[in-house]
Amino acid sequence: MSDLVKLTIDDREVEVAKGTGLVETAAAAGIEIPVFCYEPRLGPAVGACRMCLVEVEGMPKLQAGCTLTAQDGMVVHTASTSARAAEGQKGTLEFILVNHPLDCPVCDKGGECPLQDLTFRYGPGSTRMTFPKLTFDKPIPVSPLIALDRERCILCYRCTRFSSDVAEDEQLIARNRGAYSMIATFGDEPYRAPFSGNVIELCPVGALTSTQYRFEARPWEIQDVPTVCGLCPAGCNIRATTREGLVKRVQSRNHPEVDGGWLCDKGRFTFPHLRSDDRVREPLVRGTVGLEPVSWDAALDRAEELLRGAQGKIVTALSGSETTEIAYGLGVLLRRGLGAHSAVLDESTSAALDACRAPLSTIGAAELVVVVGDDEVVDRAPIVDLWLRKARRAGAEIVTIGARGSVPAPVGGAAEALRDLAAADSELGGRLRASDRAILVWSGSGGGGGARLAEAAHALGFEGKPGCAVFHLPARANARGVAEAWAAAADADEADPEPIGLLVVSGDEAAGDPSVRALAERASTVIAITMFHSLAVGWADLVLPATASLEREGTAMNLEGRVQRLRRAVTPPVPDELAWLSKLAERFGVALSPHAAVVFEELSGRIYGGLLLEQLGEHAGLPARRPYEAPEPTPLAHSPEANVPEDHFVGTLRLLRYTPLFSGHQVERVPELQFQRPEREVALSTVDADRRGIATGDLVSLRSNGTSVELRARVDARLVEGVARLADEHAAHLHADVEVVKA
Amino acid sequence: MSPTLHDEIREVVKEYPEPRSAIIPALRLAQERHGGWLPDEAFRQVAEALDVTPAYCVSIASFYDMFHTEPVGRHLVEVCTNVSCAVSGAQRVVEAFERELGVHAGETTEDGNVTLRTVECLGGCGWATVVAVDNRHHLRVQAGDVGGIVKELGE
Amino acid sequence: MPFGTLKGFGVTLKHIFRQPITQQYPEYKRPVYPRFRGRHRLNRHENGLEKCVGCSLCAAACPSDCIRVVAAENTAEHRVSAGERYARIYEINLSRCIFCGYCELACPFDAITLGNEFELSEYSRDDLIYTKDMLLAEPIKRVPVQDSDLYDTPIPAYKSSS
Repeated sequence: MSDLVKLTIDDREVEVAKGTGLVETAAAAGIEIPVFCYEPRLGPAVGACRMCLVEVEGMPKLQAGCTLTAQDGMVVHTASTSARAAEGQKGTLEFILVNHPLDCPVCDKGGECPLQDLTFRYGPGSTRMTFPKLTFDKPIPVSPLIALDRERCILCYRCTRFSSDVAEDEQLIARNRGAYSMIATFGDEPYRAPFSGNVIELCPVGALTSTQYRFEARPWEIQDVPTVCGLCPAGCNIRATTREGLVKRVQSRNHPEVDGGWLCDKGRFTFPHLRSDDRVREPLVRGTVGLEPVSWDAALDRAEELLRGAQGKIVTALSGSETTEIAYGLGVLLRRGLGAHSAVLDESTSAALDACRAPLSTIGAAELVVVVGDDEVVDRAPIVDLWLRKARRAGAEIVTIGARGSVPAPVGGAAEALRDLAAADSELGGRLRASDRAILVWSGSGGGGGARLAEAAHALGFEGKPGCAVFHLPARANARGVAEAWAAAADADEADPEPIGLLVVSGDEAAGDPSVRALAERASTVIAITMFHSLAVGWADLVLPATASLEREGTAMNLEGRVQRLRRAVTPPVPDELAWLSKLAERFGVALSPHAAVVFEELSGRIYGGLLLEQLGEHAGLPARRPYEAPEPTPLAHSPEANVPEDHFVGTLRLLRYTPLFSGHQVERVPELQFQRPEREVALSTVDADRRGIATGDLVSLRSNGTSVELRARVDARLVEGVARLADEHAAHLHADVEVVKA
Repeated sequence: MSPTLHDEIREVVKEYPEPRSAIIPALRLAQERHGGWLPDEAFRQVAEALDVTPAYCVSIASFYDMFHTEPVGRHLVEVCTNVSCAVSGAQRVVEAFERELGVHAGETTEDGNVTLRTVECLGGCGWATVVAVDNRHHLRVQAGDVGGIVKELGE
Repeated sequence: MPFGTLKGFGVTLKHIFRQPITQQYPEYKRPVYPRFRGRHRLNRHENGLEKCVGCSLCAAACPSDCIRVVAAENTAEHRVSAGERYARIYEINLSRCIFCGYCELACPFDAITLGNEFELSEYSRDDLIYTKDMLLAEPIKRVPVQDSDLYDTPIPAYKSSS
């Protein structure tokens, strides 16, 4: 690609790398070639819309500019210098508009619509068409999240190409052919896929619109706040559209190294949980008849009383979804102010991963990717799944080692699989060692994942190869940032207190975690910092309202080790955590600023080498790799899988719980997302199903230790023998070994 | 699902480098089994056998003329109305069929016996007008021949 | 005494004997020109549906940012306007409005027009925020309290009937 070609566009000489598309070449020369269907991220150009017509000298007819690449000596005339091209574009637009309803005042796209803009610039001023336009029923719900208006559709095929070529879900298709083509799903089934929302952003007209944003605001009434999604550790860059102090929609903000401009439906559609009815809007104190609202002064008094009363016997349950600053603030208050050092965070990340870090986009260019772990990548960090698909389309080999892997492995066997890979006699390990573009991904919980991964990468010699990288996918958005900030807040370490005087539960993930609930049984008092009433009732002595990531200023570290900046999209209905943490810290004689920027500065001096907030910018860069330091042998947290006995009772199956992408307290509070949640079903391997005479769709009953759950069975050919895989939310109180019988 | 259709499709798949390449023969098999057209159930069966989505099957089936996504009659009468046939009086043939059958082109008779369609070129321009009855070509059809064809279908 | 002063008094003296052209407001209200831009009105179609579809173009055009529109979707049971959407909230802050009429120009459906009413005084600023119901309603006719003949200008050329 290093050789350059020289060509002339509109009498301007341009020099670009060979193979550059004509649209980009023209853009480099400051010339616009208008497009609708062209979108390089969707793969090769299709030339469906004909908007990009240009005249190329030596070619008899007008050419679709987007389908051409720059050639040496090419002479191109766009509409601005060629009357033929201008005429062609005008004609194209006239055709496109033949059946377009021009209902711009009613259309949600109006004001930010490429068709509107390009018609204004290149189109005819009036129409010659006098016959009635095609009409369809509208809007058609493609899913509860997406509305389709077929009258507005110009058949550019961006959405169907996304569905088939990027997300590879193949659910949004073009039905019929020619003039009768229309975008559709199968029958009445909704477009149910983790990345469906991207088609809304891709649509160059108002044909696919968000039902959440429907008629909510117009482009001149909104403010877009650049921030980072706080729902998974990928940290996709997003833009929160706000109007009148409310988030109205979330869109992708292309960070080519992190998300490539895509965003999953969880990140895009869960914002309505900010306005949930059961949101905690004031501090609550346990009174005689349950939780009673109190003033902030009274709440802080009570908090001080509880903190002092515990006499340092405090355990903090961190969520891993806090901003780094909030975690640090908690650390300053509890560790420095009270000498309480004990924290639980159910994650196993490791700073040693930094020796082999690289942007997520490295995956897209890889030739060999090995994913270990029992969880689907899409459930943990969805955007990584898109990168993996991109790599596979480009010819990479993807090997998955796990309970549903291409290489089957026993449940919880990820650590062993990695050890085997790093061993000298491993065939796959040998290829990883030899490759310059190899990736290792850990997609599962526990097992000391981060540290094991770093060790394996070190053993495979990844550090010296910039095209090789490792990615550990934690369960929580800012798992690494929180762990590091907590550690940085004070120096001393103390053993776990017993009995626990006070349990501080920070955040909703921790509040919903059964192991934290079990811990609370042993604690004499509990302070819960949570957003929702249902997570607060029944166990907390004091409830302090929490804020959501869209309401926070601060930073978060994503799974790559990239520090990214969160911006407050909307003012939360309650004071944010740092505001009252600083007030509380004052009472214990430790200094903590209520401003995230100041806290970051202090923290940055300790752990980020004095990195400045300004240096993060809108698209944060990834710091250089750090020299490898062998991780500490014991991981930060205990994993449930680590101490499961190898052999289980004969006839029973090992229960493999997984946390689906569309789950959790935020998703639960968004009615229109419910259709994306997993079915009530249990996956069984072909062998286990046959042995029990179970077929897909049969009602089965799962029993263990006196509890039982009834759900539908699904035979999963990829699943290893001896495992029953089901979503966490359906597993209820089932134990590790379950008996599966036909109901 | 009927196991034989699945098996038949899997048999066809062996001829191709990857399963999805077999979609057209697979849809044809499914159409034969579902009374000449493809209900949603047929798409699900094909999708399951080829490991693709039902939506993908619909996109293929709705593109090609020989697949029917709406119910058709027991017999299918297809009249070519492309250029050669048109100049040889295809329109009169169509009208004759419409009169004899009492339906418009594109419709099925009330008893569900015959579906009348107009189609593009059937590859018999030298023998216009061409009428395909249940995929069997009748050549040089004139409006006067229509009565006989319809009578045959009624039996 | 300088001559200029005398000349000035002369003008005064001349006007003492002329008829006054004063119109007695508020007893008499002088009619405005037909294209006078007074307070806004929202219009309806003949079938009673509102013309406004809540597109916010008026708000975009407004130089003093005094229009607020919040749209919602029409349903079969609750149909307010002819299109898919309607203005659930339509407010004009008349204390900020400069009566430029850009909203009227921007409106693609002739839903908003500027009327002739100019008496918009209120005791409270809040009352100057006109809601959709107020803008849709027929304006209150503020009739002269007195006989117009009595308070109209005596000069024929300025008479309202002329």
